[in-house]
Amino acid sequence: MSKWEETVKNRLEEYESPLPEGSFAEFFERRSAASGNSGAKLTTWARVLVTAVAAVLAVMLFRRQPGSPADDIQIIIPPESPVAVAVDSTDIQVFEHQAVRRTAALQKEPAVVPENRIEETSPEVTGGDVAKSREDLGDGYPDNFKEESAVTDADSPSSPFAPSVPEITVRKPAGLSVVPAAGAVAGGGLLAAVLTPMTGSRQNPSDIPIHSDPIPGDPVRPGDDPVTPVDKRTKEYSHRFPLQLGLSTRIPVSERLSITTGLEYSLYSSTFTYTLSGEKEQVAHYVEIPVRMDWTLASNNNIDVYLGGGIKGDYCLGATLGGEAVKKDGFNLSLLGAGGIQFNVTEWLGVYVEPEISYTLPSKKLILETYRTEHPLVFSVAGGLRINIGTTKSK
Amino acid sequence: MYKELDEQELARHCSERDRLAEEELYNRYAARVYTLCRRYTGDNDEAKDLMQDSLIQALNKIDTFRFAGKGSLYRWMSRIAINKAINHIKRQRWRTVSLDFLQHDDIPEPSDEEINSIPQEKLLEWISQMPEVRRTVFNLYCIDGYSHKEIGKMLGISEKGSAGTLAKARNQLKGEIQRYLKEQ
Repeated sequence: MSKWEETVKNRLEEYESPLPEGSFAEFFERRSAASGNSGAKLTTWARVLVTAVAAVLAVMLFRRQPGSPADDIQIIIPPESPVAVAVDSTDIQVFEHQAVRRTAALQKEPAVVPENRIEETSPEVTGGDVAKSREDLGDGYPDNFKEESAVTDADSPSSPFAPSVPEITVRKPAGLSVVPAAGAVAGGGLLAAVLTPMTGSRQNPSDIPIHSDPIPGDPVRPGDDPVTPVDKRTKEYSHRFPLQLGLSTRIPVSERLSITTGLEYSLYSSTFTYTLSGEKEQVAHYVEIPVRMDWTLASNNNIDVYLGGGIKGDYCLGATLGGEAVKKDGFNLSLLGAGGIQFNVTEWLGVYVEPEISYTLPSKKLILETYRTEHPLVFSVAGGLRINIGTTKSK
Repeated sequence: MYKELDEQELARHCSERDRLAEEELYNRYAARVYTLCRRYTGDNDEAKDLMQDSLIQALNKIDTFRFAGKGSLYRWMSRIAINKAINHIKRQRWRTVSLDFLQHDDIPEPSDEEINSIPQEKLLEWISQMPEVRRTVFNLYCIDGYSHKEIGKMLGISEKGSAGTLAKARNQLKGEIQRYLKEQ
């Protein structure tokens, strides 16, 4: 260092520039506010709070029961006595045998058709109703039975031997709501919500075949009995865009690199139409943990602009179809890519908006048909609050 | 009473959350820390915020201060302020490209008398007007005694880059000094 620099150094080192007016009072005001609320304490509390809210959310989701039984689909069991009119006695015997088998099979499924919710229907069914019902039943009835029934329709509208047709009472299942979960998150003061438009994706009926395979939770399983009406899934269904809520945190690794992670909850709902029971709503609950590396492209004191990529692991907590629990998805992975902008409100809290693209990796553990099975590549825009843990920000 | 406390005692009282001791610490060091922050930020408002942040952090961490002779309390606080200033600058810095690559190194060095005739506020003003990285390197190397290796690590630049930036800062300051002296 040259001589003149040494002199400059000495002159500046001993210099005390006058303090701005009111800085003393301002300093002690800030000091008082900060003394009970230091950064280290905040960081600790933030961590504790994140953990607590995550635990509460997880417990709520695990304890969540399916919709009220009163709202479930109700199916009336057909009477044991088969149709009285038959031409061939062999046919009658076969039919009786099959009907008894079916009745026994249905009685073995109390979870599907609770006894206390079976509604007695009038045995007096008009011929027109019978015909309509048989059309609905389709291939479940043998051909010879159909022919004989046609004879019966014509002459006995109120005959005591008229067949009693299973009456299907469909009640719309109660729509599952995420209000309790959202309330808990917001109530915890750690809202970090990913709100996405609730648009549905309705499948074109001509694009997909009818589901004839057994579907978990179906009240009647096809193939048990050729006489029994089969509740098949039709071509019509719709998947709604998932609703996501979550907590997000960012942990800086270096000046520009940070790890963004958190805990998310996703609700996937879909509606499927069945031949007998009408529309059923499938609801699946997932917990997801994204882990992303973000590269800060530009930043100043208050704003970070970043790009990132990573993976997201998800696990299905439970799924219901028409209020009945069904087999759920296993652990699955998705690839993530995101870019975003974060406005740092305080040293440890930021508001962010980030367009995100995710690709659900194909997996045999994905059993349920949801929005993401139809659209593995999803573009969404997430927004919310983010906790900055161990920030390097100076202010 | 507090005015007579030495640094060690003052720090001890501050660690006991003694409000009067804290006021004394502020009265003793705030102006010097503020001047340091002005040198680094080049902006009076930012410097005020930085000074307050630094003193608050110093008071929060005063338990960790170890007395090492006279002046050690200020040196300890100034390190806190410098670290905060560097972080502040790094966070605030957007990628910029310097366009003043054509530099001339033929400006004569001022003498001690000439330097001493310049008001300190003027020197501070010229340093504040330097581009951010240049100002930071000059402050770290010439005034606060850091090496180019340390500066490179702190700012995420190479040692050579730090030396080059310092040369530009020196030339700029010399130019301002010579211009001022000619006008007098």
